This record gives sequence, C-alpha cells and structure tokens, in this order.
Amino acid sequence: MLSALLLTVMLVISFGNPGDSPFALEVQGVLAAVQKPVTRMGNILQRGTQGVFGFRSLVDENQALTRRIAELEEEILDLQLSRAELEELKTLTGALNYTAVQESKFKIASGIISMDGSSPFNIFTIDAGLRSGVVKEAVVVNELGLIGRVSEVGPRFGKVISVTDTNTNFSFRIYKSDTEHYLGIASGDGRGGLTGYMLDADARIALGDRLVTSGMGVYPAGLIIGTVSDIADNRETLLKTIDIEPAVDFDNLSTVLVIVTKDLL
Amino acid sequence: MKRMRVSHIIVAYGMAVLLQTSWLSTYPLVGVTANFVLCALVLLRAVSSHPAVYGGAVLCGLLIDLSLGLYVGVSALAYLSVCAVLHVVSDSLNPHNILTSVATVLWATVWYEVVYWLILFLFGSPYHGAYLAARLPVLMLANGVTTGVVKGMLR
Repeated sequence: MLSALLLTVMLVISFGNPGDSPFALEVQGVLAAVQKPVTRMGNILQRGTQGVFGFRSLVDENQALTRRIAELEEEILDLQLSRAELEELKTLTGALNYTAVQESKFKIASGIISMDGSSPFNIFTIDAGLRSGVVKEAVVVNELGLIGRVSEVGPRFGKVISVTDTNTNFSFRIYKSDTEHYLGIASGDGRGGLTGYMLDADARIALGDRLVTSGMGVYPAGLIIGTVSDIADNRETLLKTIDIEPAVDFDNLSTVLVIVTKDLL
Repeated sequence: MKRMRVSHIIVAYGMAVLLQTSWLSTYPLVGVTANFVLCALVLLRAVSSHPAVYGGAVLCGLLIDLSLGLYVGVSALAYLSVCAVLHVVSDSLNPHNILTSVATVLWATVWYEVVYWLILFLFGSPYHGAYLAARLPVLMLANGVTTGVVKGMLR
C-alpha cells in the first residue's frame, strides 16, 4: 500500500512537471552507460550475422540507395520551398533580419542506445549529449523524415520523444505546386500516428499528399513529416481533418541526425 | 518451492531490463518486443515468493520510467498491480508446468497493459484504447513465447 501511494505521488508530480529531475538525469546517465556497449555489441553481432549469410552487400547497397533517395527528395523539397518563398523572403530579409534556415543550423549524427520496445511510445535514448553539442528541444530526423525532438539531455546522452507521442501541436505545409500550398496543424493521435487539420477550409488536398514542416514553431522548414492517409470534413469547425502516415518507420530506427538551430544555442 | 538468492533475482531483473531497453528493442518484430521484466516477474514468482521478486519488478518499472518513460511511475504502478494479483493467485498454480507459466504471463500482459493505459487515460495522456487493443495480441504472443522458451530452458 505504501509503495503504491509513493508511486502515485511520484506519478502526480511527474504529470504536473514533465521535465526530468536532476536525479532522473543521473539515473538515465548510468543506464545509458550500461546500455551503450550492449547495444553496440548487438549491432555488431547483427551486421556480422547478415554478412555471414551474404546479405551484407545488399543491405549496404539498400542503405546507400535509401540515403540517395532521401537526399534527392530533400533537394526537391528545398527547390519547392525556395521557389515559393524566395521572393517573399527577399523582401523580408532586411525588415526582419531573417537568416536562412540552412545557414542557421548544424547537424550531429548519433546512434540509438536504448528504447523500450514493449512501450506504446516511441521514446529512445541517443548516444550524443551536451558534450557533442546536443541541446534540449533540438530536432531529430533520419533519412526518411522528422522523428521528434530532444526532451532531456545529459552530458553523454539525449532523450528523444517522437512527434507521434505528444499532444503538442506543430504546423505543416502541403505543396501542391509552386504557387499552391496549404498550411495545417498536426499532433500525435495516440495510436502511433499523427492527426491534423487544414487551416484553409477550401484546401485542395488529396490522399498521398506529402506534408513538410512549415518552419513556424519548433521545427525548421522543409522536413518531411509524412503523407495524408485519410481526409474528413469536420462539420463543427468546417475544416478538413486528416490522418497522417508518418514517413519515418519508428520500428526500424538505428541512427538519427540531431539538428541544432542557432536559436537553441 | 525453492529458496532463491536475492543476488539471482537481481541478476535476472538486470538482464531483463537490459534486454528490454537495449539492442533487442531497437529491432522489434511487428513493432513490439517482449516485456522481459513482466516475463521475469512471472517466472521468478513461480519459483520464489521472496519479497525481492515483487520489489525487483517495481524497481525495474521505475528505472524504465525514469530512462524511457513519458511520466515517472506508470510502469512501476502497473508492475505493482500485477505483483498484487500474482501474490494472491500464484500459490494455487503449478510452478513447474510451462503451460501454466505461459497462461499466467498472458493474463499478466493483459492486466499490465490495461492498468498502464488506465493510468495514462486518467491523467489525460493521448494513448488511445484502440491502439492498446491493436498492440495487445502481439505483446501477448511475444511475452508468451519468451516465457515458454525461458521456462523450457530452465527446466
């Protein structure tokens, strides 16, 4: 009874104050130090086993091609973003002291060292922390798109929470053409996916349309979020609500890229 | 019922936490990996009624919450609830039968997941009941197979 009471008190405190305490960070640091070599050994063992069965070259080739596709997709999106917004940004540069997103960020590659596969949430620990330049609220992506953000950071590790796991809203944009694009708001749907709505009631969107971050809020512009998997009309708000299939396969994460924008430093 | 050393219980739970949160969990099958701590709890309770069996599970839940949880205490409370039920029913179960252990872990999985979801639901977390229903069969399968295999190896 006493332990149940203590745990309930901890839970209430935790819900009221989601940020990790210094004690929790210490515990995470110790666990991460133990988990890191285990995960590394497991990864080496797995890659070695794949090599033995002759799949290693295929796996490497597949990874290289996946990376190349992701690079090309990013280039296409960059071009779309550039075309649509170049003129607007040019006029705003002087007035708002605007700095292009590409120039205002640096990236840190990192491996995943722990994750609870039995949990419904996609929360994991990466092997880069304050000493590598990772900061709280830094954006985490992989070659497929947006994963989430760093929620806590220790000297040698960072705790990442995915975009699908929170009620926190973030804005996205759907590009139909150079001149036609629509804004919307998305958040986690509690089922491992994303849900959202369009700000324009007349938005001409279709199943399969790709969503990218708009650049307003935490996430820099142009990161791939996912695709529209369902569209419905909300009779109360008169807006289109959508289900979003995340671009990232959260079941197969091994390495990630942490993007630290200058405003976080 | 055999007497079990506390050190053995600590080692068993230590391995369970490492398996649950390290390399194996970064390569899940069909989106989930087994809840190794829950499997360890069921297997250990079958051979020992030492308080450390219950305490270890709750502590593991707390560690997992601290390192990878959205909120601290959810897993720990869910494990504690499983411990409470196990404490009542375990003495009437055959500790040597694999099928009994597998059946125990199956209902323990359902109990744990429902309590976990209920706690999050009460506090307004977005974890949806339909998502729980979709994950439950796979989790039961993973936990059942893990428990059966480990029990078979230990016999």
